[in-house]
Amino acid sequence: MKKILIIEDEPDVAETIKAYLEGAGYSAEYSLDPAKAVKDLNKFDLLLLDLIMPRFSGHQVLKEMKKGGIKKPVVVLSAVGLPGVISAELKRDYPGVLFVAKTAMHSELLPAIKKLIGQ
Amino acid sequence: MGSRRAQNPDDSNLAQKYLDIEQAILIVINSDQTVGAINRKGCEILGYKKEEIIGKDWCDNFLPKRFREPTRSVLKKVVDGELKATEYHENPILTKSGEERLIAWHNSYLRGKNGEIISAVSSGEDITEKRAAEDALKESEEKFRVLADRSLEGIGMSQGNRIIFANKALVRLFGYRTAEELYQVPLLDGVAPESRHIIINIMEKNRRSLPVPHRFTYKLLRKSGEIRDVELSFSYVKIKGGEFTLSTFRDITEHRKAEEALATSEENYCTLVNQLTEGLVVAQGPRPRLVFANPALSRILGYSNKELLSFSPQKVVELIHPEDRKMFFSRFKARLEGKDVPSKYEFRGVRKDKKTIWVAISSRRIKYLDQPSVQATFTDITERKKAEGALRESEEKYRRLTENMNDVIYSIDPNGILTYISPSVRQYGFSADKMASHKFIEFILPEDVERVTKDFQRSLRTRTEFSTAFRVRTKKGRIYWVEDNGKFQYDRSGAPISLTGTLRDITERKMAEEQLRESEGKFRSIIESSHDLITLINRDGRVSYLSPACKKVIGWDPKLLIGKRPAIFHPDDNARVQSAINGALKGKGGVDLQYRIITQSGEERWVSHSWAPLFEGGKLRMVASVIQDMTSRKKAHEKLVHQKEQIAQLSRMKERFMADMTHELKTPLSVIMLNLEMAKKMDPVSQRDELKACFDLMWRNSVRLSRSVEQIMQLTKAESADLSTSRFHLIDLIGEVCEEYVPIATTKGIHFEVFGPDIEIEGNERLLAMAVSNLVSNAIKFTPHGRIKINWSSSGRNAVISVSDTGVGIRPQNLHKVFHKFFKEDHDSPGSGIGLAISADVITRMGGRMEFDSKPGKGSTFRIIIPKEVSK
Repeated sequence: MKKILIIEDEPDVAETIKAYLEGAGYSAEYSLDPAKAVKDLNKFDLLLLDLIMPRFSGHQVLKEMKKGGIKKPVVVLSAVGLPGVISAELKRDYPGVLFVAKTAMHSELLPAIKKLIGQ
Repeated sequence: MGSRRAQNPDDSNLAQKYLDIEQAILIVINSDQTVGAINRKGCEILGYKKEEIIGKDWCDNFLPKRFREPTRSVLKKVVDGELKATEYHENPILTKSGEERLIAWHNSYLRGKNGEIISAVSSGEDITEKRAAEDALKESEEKFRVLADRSLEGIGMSQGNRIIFANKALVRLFGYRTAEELYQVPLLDGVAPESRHIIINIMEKNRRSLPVPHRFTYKLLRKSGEIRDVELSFSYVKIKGGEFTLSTFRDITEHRKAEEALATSEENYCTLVNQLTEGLVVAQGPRPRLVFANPALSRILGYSNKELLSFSPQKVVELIHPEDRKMFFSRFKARLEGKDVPSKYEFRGVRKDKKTIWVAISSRRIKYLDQPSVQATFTDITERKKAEGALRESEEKYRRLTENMNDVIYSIDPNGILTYISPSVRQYGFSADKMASHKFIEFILPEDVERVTKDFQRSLRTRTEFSTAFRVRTKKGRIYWVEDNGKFQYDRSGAPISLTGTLRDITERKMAEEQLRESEGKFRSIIESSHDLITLINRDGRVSYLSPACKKVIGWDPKLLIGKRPAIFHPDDNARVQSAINGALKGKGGVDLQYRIITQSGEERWVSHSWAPLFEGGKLRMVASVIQDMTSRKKAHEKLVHQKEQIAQLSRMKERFMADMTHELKTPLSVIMLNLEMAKKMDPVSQRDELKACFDLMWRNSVRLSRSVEQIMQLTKAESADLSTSRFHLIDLIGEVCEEYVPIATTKGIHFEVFGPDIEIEGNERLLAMAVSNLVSNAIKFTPHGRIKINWSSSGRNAVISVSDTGVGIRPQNLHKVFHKFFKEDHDSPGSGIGLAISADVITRMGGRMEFDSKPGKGSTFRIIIPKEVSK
């Protein structure tokens, strides 16, 4: 069973996604503290990363990973209104990262995860 | 000249003597020395009768006492025959009258028959007179000899061609050592060749008994060959039948030289006198007669010198104008008498052509040809008098002019009292007659008196011209402006005696001036209040005017620039500015030349310079410039740039806000949607708990969603929110806020501490709740874990609500931006960034304020300070 780490500061969101992924047959854990979570990344097959978090943003998590040479499939969850702008920057800097709008998770999240790590 | 001694009578003459008995005393002396006989002559001389003499002792009775004894012995010798009969002796006798007479005696003897001497016969000649004459002659001869020898004049006697006598002076004159040497020299050899003809001529005339001059001058030739001028006087003398020439010589060489010198000097003097332009005259009196007149006098009077000198006293009188005669001649007469009368004066003379002339005379008393005389110089001053006349005429003209012209002439004494004011003062409504003897100052408008007095005193003190202007008011109340220019007159000691001046009506000028001043004042105020520097530059490039903005605009003290060609331009801009100035001085205008000035303190300053040449009569007169400080413009520009940036930033913030709002809306929405997705597939019975969890989440996030929407509404509403007030308890308001947030905080593991007293507040409860809610929401948002403390207290008239967290804090560089709309610590910070801005805004509108402290990593404290009562 593939293990997925959710880094999300909103407990409601994190809880919901965890339940949703577990329902879809994945093993999921979430962390509300991104800085701490980065260190445990090796135990997981995929990272679901919220971008907008206080103090330690999703963006920073990605930088840390690159710096630390950690290569894990990442799906970035975005709730912002202009995903095109942000994703373009991130796609340039972090090729291979997939983006899913939070409001489109019900239809796009599982296909994205499947695409990266399979069922 | 006679022989020096009388001839002794010799024997041959003796007989004759006896015959001529009458001529001599004949006396016979007996051997007993008594008188034996005496002739008539003897009696006559002795003054006795014959009988009184005969028989008497000769010696005792008829000889002076002192001769008695010597004669007695002589007589004894004669009687004894010891004396020769021919012996001669002189012996005086004593006459009856007691007079002594000198007698020259010749003795002979009467012998007896035996040849014995019986008596002596003496014949005597009375030589008393003869001897006296002889003595006198002797004395005289001696005198002349000494005189001749000592005489400074040469005295000589010549005969024929030789000098036979020469005194010492003559010997010296001829240059010989001794007279004998001179006597060897032929007469003509002592005469210079050029004078020989004179001597020869005289000698020739003399030979022919023709009259000759007895005094002449000729040139004498000395032994040395030197020539002397000599004046010779001569006469002929006959001595012992011989004819001699007696001459005196006077060396006149020096005299001649002096005479020549005198002649030259006299000539000079003559020339001077003759060439004098002043007439020179010497007159004698008392009936006036001219004894000397120079040519200038002839020129002045029109008479020839000869005419003047031959004038009768009447004619002389007629030379003076009838009206001046009395004065003139009374002075003349007084002066001649040595009285003290004016020596210099003027009078009128009458020329030969009957024209009257004015003469200035200067006269004094002198002796001329031993006569008291008056010497005078005459100067023809007719022209001067004419000029004087013209001057008087001119003065009269000017006087008339002044009295008729518009300017008023006045004169005041040192006390300021009018001594004269011309009638034209009537133009100011005053009467000259009434003003006279009044103080000038009385007519001046009181407001001007002090100034005029100052001007007056200054002029008096500095001895400069008096110049002032003042107003006078006519009787009808009209005001005139009067310009006053005057000059002080001083006496010999330098004390002012009067002030004479002119008054001129300058009312129109003053009016024009006033208008000009007003107009000038307007322009001046425009220029002087201008924030831009306005300058004038002269044709020569020198600054003549700088408006007061100088210091502010270009940072230079205007005093340092006036009159100079300014060198205040930035080196990099200097060439550009100078060429613009040169262009300006050639008449080119320019707009908005931008360059840098180096200010007095060395700073750079940008200015914008626009200028225009000003022409006068087609010629450039000056260049007027307006120099603007570009700092303000630059500032405006900067502000614009800043604003633009702000707008851009705002726009970015808005974008971000939109994104954040979207996030705020989308996050709960995504939770709701995902839970709905899950719930759809759940079995309501077997998965009842899971379903409930889904619904809880959906509910909670629906609330959140609703709140976000509410916040967006707040943002639009807050600014226009009405400030209607109510009374409420602070604790209720905070309780409500906490009720809303505690569940969220709890899920994040954040501990809440809430405490404070019961404070009643009058205000807008809804807006205050919004502000507090925002603070709490932020605190939760930026506090990952830890504690949030909400407390409140009363502080004077205010209530203070404080919200502290142990969150991330705010970085120092961002502190000032905390209350800006859309501010966020960074792009990824949660929330819209609008909460604090809205809070601060509403609190301010409620009359309160917000404060905060923050330390990065330690947390922040925000305080709301708000009046408990709405201020009325």
